[in-house]
Amino acid sequence: MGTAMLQQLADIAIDNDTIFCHGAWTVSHIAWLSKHAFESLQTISQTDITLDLSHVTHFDLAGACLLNDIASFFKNQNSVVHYRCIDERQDELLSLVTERMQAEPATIPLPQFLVRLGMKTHKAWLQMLVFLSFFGQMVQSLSMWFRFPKRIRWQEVIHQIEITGYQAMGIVALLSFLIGVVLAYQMGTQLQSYGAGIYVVDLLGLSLLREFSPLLTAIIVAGRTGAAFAAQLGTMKLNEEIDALQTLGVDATEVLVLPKLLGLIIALPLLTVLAMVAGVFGGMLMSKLMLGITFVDFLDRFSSSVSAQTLFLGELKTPFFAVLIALIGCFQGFQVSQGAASVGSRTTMSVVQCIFMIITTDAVFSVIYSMLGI
Amino acid sequence: MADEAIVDFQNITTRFGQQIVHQHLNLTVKPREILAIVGGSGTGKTTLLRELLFLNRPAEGNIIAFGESIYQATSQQVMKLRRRMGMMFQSGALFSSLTVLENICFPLRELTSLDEKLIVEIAMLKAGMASFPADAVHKYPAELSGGMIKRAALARAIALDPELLLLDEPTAGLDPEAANSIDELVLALQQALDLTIIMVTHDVDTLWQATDRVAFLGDKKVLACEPMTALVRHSHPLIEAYFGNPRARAAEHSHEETKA
Repeated sequence: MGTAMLQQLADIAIDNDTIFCHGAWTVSHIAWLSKHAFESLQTISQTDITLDLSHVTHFDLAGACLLNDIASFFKNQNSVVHYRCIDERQDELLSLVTERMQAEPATIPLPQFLVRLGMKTHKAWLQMLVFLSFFGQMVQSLSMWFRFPKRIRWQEVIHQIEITGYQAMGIVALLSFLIGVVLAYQMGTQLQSYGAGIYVVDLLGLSLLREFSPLLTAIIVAGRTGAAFAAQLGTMKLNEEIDALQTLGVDATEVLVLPKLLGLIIALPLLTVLAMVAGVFGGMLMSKLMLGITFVDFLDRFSSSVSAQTLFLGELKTPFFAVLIALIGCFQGFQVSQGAASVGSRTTMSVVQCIFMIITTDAVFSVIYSMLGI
Repeated sequence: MADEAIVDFQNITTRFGQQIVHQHLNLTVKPREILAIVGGSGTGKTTLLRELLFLNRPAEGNIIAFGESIYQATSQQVMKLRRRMGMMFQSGALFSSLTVLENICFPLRELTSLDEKLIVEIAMLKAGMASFPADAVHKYPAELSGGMIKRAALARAIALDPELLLLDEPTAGLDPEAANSIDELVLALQQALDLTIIMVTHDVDTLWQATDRVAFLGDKKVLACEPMTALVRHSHPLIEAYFGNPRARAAEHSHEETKA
């Protein structure tokens, strides 16, 4: 180690047609020279060049590479290059470089904008076809479950309910409670100025039960569970575990996707009920603190002004959200190929697509409800 | 071989929970030799390499590398020690999001400030030395066969001109022809670059063809560390069992034939 400390940086000194090389020509000592050597070489006009290595203290392959570059620089100008005081080992390394050096093959240049656009569109179209076939496969596996209910893997389904439902209860309840508090506060201040504070109950009940709770819960679950599905299946794909399943004659969709789908279809509506309760409780607490509405008054008003239909209309959407989350998460997981980066990008994509589709579907439901006049 | 040891494992004891892997193990590696570590499964061959690379830490004992006790080194010295070693992992451990060329360039870009053109040149040279075909350097690791991955991993391991090269099962999972060419490659690299090589292997052909000495791990210590010709005559029951089976015998015969 001591000798390594004392190594001098590689350098060159030019004297007419002779280039004196100094110092340690090793990978850690030639950085400066590799960037600045060629500027000073430009000044040499002679055509018979001597490279003197008598002051080179250390020499490795990287140094040999640089020396070879310098020699090639002159050879390209049709100059003759001689080496002086080159020892046996340096000569060996130098000939190793000249023997084994390969040119970097050209990379394929980026195609033109229109070509790229076409390729992207084509790729998106293919993706959609792949998604359709994935969907078809899933429906097929699902129909098997309906025909032979004994094949349903209840243990796995219940395990999924635990992971996606039970373990998410804390975060869903807390966030819904906070949303209830915020909503009650915002609406309360407006209504209070009209002296219509009690109407906060109607507003809270309608907005939470019909819109906010289903939407918020679905978005939390998409971030929590959809991403987990994509990452888990993606890693299994990379490990060839999915290939192994198929080789064993087991339907990967049936084993891996259906329990998640069924589990989430059961868990999400239940989570949504919890979110409604927590949200209304948050609103109730805020109404008491800010508007002075007692719990008894609140609940009395709530049961008379918010119909059971509101609850059902909100709950009706949640199985659809569950299907979206499970399908998109699993599909993106199956699309992973080539390495860790693709697991990351597919997981991101699954969350973005889930949330996009959830909000879009929610909008569609609103349109349908209003057309039906409910 | 008058020089002092390049690596010295002193009194190493390694435990994983209750399980003791090494107990007071000693092993010395001389400069410019090719040393193979063999032994049954679970005898801690790879663990020994990982301890040298600071990836695992033994419960007791010390490792001297390049004349320095590695567990007393400051973090700066550790960085310097690491740069003097190159490691080729068993499954290659190539970065999956980078092409082969970018993989080989990676240590050069991160740890030196060389000119970009020179970095690519050095990387292409190392690929050539590891017999990695030039027209495949823009491929991603997922597109490569097992033999190609090993070659690319070898090229990355020698990118920084290490003095000490560690190979973990360089021929595992390769067809005999590819395994043979890796053996030749290891020998050629050792001669061209004056390397010291420590490799973990199960391949008896590799042991015959490409090693100076072989350390046999068993009973939590090094049972013997001798050249292959002496090791196969060793009388310890574990070593006899390892080299006494038909496969190992066949490798020995074929080696004698090629010599004759």
